[in-house]
Amino acid sequence: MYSVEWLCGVKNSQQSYKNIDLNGNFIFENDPNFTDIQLWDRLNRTLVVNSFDECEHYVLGGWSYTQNLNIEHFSQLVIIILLSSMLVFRRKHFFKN
Amino acid sequence: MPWFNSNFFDEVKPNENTIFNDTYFEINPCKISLAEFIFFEENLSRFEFVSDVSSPIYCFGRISSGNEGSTLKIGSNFLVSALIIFFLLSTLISKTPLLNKPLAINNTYVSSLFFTSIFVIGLILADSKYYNSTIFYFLNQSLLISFGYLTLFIFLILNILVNNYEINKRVLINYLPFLFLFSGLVSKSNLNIWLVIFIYFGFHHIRENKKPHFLNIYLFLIFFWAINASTTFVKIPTTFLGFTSTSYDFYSTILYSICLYIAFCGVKFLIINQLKYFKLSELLNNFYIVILCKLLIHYLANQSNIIKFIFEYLFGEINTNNLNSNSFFVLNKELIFLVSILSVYQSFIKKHLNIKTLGILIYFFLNITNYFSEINNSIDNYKEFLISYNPTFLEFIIGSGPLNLNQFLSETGFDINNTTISSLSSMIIFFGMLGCLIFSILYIYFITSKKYGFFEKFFGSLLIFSFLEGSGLNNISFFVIYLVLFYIMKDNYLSKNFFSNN
Repeated sequence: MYSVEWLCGVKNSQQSYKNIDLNGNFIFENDPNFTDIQLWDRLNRTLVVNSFDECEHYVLGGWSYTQNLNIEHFSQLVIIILLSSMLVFRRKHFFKN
Repeated sequence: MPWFNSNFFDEVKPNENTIFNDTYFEINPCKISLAEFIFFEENLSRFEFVSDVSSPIYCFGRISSGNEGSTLKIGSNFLVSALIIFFLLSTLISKTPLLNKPLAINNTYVSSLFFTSIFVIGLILADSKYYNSTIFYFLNQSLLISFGYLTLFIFLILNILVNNYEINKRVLINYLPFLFLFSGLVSKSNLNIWLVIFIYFGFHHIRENKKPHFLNIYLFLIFFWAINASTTFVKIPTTFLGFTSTSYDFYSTILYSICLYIAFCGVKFLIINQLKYFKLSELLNNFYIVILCKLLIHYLANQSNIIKFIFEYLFGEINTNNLNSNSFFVLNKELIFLVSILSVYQSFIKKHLNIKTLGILIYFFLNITNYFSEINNSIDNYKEFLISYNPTFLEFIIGSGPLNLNQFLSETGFDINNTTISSLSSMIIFFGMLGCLIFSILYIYFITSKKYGFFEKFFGSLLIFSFLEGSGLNNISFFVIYLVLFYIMKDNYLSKNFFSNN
């Protein structure tokens, strides 16, 4: 997973684009100076954020992945499973003989 | 096979008309495999291929980016490279014959595996500055979970080496020359699979044997070396990757000093358990095979950049700057000299000169002028080293710690890329005058002892000369072979057992 700075960049303005409505929900306004950023969670679900505040909110909430990072984690998992399978297969084979 | 890795169902489909310029690879990073590129590019000779260690797993074997159109970076992810090199070496090990009685490794090997994994992670942490500077994409180093993953990865591959490839049941001592063919280095990292195997053996040796007398003195020295390493020095690019620290600091000094001791124990463990299987003729046959393979690799690597890239990935660095009849000899003079000494020694004992010995001797004598000019160069390099070397009093007495040249190279203007550093120079840097004194006492004992005959003393002296002049302290292959020969000479093993072994 990446840091807020890595994914969202650095906050340039002091203006806040984050509001809270009467029900306690966050409402994020679009920052015209902020380039849209696509974020992913670890299950590869995705969303687009339009301000630094919104980006920071979601990154801290776990949307701190990229598609490439998800592929990398999946590949790493596959490697570990393959290596473990080799060992398990060998042990079963060993005990059979 | 790994160079065929590509997504054949995506929209990027190169063909004969595709122009591979640097814009093409900027738009399509990690989209086409090296094999596809070779197939569709007509003029391969205009490209140079380099490993890209900063690429992810899925990019392995694909062209990750182009640089000014002539240098192409090929994805060489650390984890995949480690797996490929590991399985290559394991397959090689599995071809060696089985022992009559397995090594003294019982079912408690798991703890040795665990300690080895943890220690290797420690070495990776000690090299973190190097890995950060070369942007290694093996994991996010700031996360603890990354190191957990790496520990598990190393633990599993070592477990496979022990369980599936049965390293503890193999006769390895006669096959040590293959250390010179396969460097065991993973991509451009500082991790050497051979070193990991010797660390594993080393932990076994430590567990099963009494503490040697010199260990307390060595621990005392480590304490001083670590205290002395108050200033950090990092010298990149690093020479001798795989058996040297990439930075000089408190942590690296301790870890690499311990590493040398454990690797030493690992080699000793192998010798103690396998000495009775040692056959000089078999060792020499393997040396001849290795020299012939190296000659072939050297020739082929000079023919094509792509072959050079693949061979460098599998076998380690290949120097292709100057292709002439002498360059191979100059690059491998230490190995050829070592094999010549052993071949002549075998002929003296057997009182018979075989065709292989004759071949290597003819080759050596044809290049004798090159050999002496290289020795002259070594002497000049040593003089240059003495001019550059400027230690503190403590460093002069006890050195600045083993397997670490960073302080010397950072503090002085010594150009290691153009001036080779010998074992003698390394010994002075690592162990200071104390190390040199102990080495001299051992040599004087060897020369004056009545236990050894004239031939042992003569050939032993040649080996010691080759060790001091060469890179025995900086290279795992030479370190292992010299240590094995030292123990064989020390116990007078060859003269006592030669005839029964052949």
